[in-house]
Amino acid sequence: MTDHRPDPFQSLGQTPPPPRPDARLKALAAAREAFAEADAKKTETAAKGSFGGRRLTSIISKLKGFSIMDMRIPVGTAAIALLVLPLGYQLYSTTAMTSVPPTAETRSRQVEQAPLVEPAPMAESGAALKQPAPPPSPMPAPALSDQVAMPSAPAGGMLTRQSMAELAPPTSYDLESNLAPEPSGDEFTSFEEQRLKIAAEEPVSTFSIDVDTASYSYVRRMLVDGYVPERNAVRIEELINYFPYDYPAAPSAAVPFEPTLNIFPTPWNEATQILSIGIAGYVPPAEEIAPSNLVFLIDSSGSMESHDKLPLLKRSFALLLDQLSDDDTISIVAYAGSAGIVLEPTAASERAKILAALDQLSAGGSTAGADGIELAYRLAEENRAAGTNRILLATDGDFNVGIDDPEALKDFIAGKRQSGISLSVLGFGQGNLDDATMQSLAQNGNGNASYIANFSEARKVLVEEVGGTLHTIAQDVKIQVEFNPAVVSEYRLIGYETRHLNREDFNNDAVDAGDVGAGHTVTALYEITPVGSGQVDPLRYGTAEANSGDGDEIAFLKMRYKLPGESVSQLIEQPVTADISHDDIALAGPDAQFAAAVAAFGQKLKGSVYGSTMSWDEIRALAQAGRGEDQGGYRAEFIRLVDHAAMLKRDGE
Amino acid sequence: MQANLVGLTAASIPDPPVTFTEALVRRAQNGDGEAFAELIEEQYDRIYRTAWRWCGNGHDAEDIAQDVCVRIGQAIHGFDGRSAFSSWVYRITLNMVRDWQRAGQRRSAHADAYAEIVPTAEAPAQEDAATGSQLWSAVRSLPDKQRDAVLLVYAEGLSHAEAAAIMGIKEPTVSFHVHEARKTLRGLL
Repeated sequence: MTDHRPDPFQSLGQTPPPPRPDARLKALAAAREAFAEADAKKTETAAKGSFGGRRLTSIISKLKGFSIMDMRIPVGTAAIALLVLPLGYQLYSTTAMTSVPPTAETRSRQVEQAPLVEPAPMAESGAALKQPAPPPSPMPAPALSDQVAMPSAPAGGMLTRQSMAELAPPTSYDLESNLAPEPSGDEFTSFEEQRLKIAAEEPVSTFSIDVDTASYSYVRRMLVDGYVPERNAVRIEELINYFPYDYPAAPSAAVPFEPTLNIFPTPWNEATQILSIGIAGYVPPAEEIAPSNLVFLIDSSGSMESHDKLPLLKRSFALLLDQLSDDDTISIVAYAGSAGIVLEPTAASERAKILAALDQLSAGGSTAGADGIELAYRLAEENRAAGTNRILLATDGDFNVGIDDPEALKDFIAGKRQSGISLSVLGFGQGNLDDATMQSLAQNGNGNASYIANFSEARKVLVEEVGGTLHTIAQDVKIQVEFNPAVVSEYRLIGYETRHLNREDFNNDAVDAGDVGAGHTVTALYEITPVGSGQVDPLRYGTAEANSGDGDEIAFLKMRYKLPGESVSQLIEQPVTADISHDDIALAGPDAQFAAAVAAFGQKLKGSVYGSTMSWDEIRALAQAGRGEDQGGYRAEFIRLVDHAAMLKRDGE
Repeated sequence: MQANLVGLTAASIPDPPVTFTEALVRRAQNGDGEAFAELIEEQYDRIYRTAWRWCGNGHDAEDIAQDVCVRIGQAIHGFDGRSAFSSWVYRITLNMVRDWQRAGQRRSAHADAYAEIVPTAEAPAQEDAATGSQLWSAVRSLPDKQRDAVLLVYAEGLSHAEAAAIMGIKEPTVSFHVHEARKTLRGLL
């Protein structure tokens, strides 16, 4: 308006000097604290929520008329945001404009929208959809690694699926997102379900064992809260392995487990059978357990304040304390919030001292957390014990432990693993949980990731399974199954998507894999199709009968493991023969029935293309039949969970 | 979260920080401490700069910025989204500056004097020209409304409409205040 000739006011535009970093940090910390306080107050007196904002604007309202003018920018911004956000998102997800690793969500959408990553989409999609009619062309499916993303609903697949009438709902993805708005910022690694493989082409299946149970706890919490969990949150093997199974225990520490094999008809598919591989870890008698050295690395950021986080954690650790022997050593390190050593290494016998240190831990605080993780490892190294040396990282998703770069953090943890210090992650709370990071840290740290949603869960992880959580009996446990193409035409591993190994990794002792703790039970299920009833047409021009396998053996099981502290692996081999096969799932025992029910539950919950035909009632009946003794009441709880799921996600939807 | 930010930025959405900030605000209002921390971290530099421009020295600016951050933390639950978040932050900052100066006329006078006597680390950077510093002190000595209008428009580089929204006055009134400021300072400039 009055802008003319060189304007002295223009020189006001210069940038002021930057703030001093420590002043900045102080201000940020103070703000976080104020926020946490206000947040806590708000949850107490929710009705007064808007008080602060109104009061503030009213200070200005003496400069009259603001409320009218005020509307221009927000309305404009909102309109622009409404227009531009979806547009931009669309643009982003349909074009490969960036090489930045996308988030879990964008990744899964990219996969849906851009199936071009497939070398041969038609053949692949046919192979991926097991239930539907034969694939459009009997081209050999290229041998892709399981981790290669697959289109979950490509056009070709839709056609065949429609012809299957009321079969699997066309990926309940949309339904889920409509029905149940995700209540949180929890993050999950996206993965594609294991696909059907043809035994003649890819007879060998290799994977690492997974004793984590975090997925089940998370799924349970979501269902109980009335939400359908996002599909990437459902890892079927973790659902199955949450439950204890009654497999015969191994005789000695030298052979820490023996495989228990079982074959029974698939409850959701008459044409196939399930091969179940179960192991139960050896439980050493108490006197054989060497002293452990445990370092609790506890997140004390402001977000840990809510009742299901730090307070629950305190009570949980008090439980754990009762399980430890007097020779064990405990230290506590806090990070984020009030950072530093909370408890110097202390013998577990000094219960009162440890509990007092735990008690004084409080969420929030003014210092920004720094080198929490290095401190924890340093304490662990200084007090190395003959038995387990482990760091237990307890967090609600804040991994601000001193190393910012997730990759560097993983490398750091993996490096420390070599020196014999492992890391387990205990997840608390909801809304901020970074499942992907939790998993990868625990995997790199040779530990387990557990999600502790409530006190009874804490009891399960830290009391009933404390042996498994703390005392490793076998490391780097890998399973390799070679199927006999003369007997098995197709097979599919249920779950274990995130634990896939390459065939050559099996004999390579340098390749890391999952560990088994004392008393852990692990179950892997394969859905196998006998020769003659396969979904995939045989090759017209392929090698006629390349397989020369013995007709008696269905498959050959190999397992590798290392005894704790050893670097050379041991091998267990066992043929899978027809004499372990049962004609009726009821004859295979309650464990088989229950595991199959959990697998069906997971598949249905995910909206999997496999096995979603089973109704919730059928799953419930199967689980009920497989309930067995159910000492901890976990199976009964699962059955209630099936009812929840049935209400949230109806059959046929 | 970080990946989200990167993803959005790479998506070539016009002005992604605004939408991203809005998302953070919403999450913070839902009680997400993580999101709030990120939000305030993102806002701090701007708040500090604003405070510096209004009060003219680093120490006061730091204190004011910290108070503003705390106030945002206390009040974000009540932020109703009727105005842009950035406008809201501006209003809090300007109020804080006003409170600060009113409450501590003497203190800030001392601080000003102190800043003049003891050249602080930032002094050489800003004092590029004697006229520049003269202008600043002249502008700061203007009546509140004139000063706010001039600084919002020229120092913060906002449009008259944006400044109007922050000051809670009509757009032409902003122009009027700027005009008045020119008149007041005519002798000095």
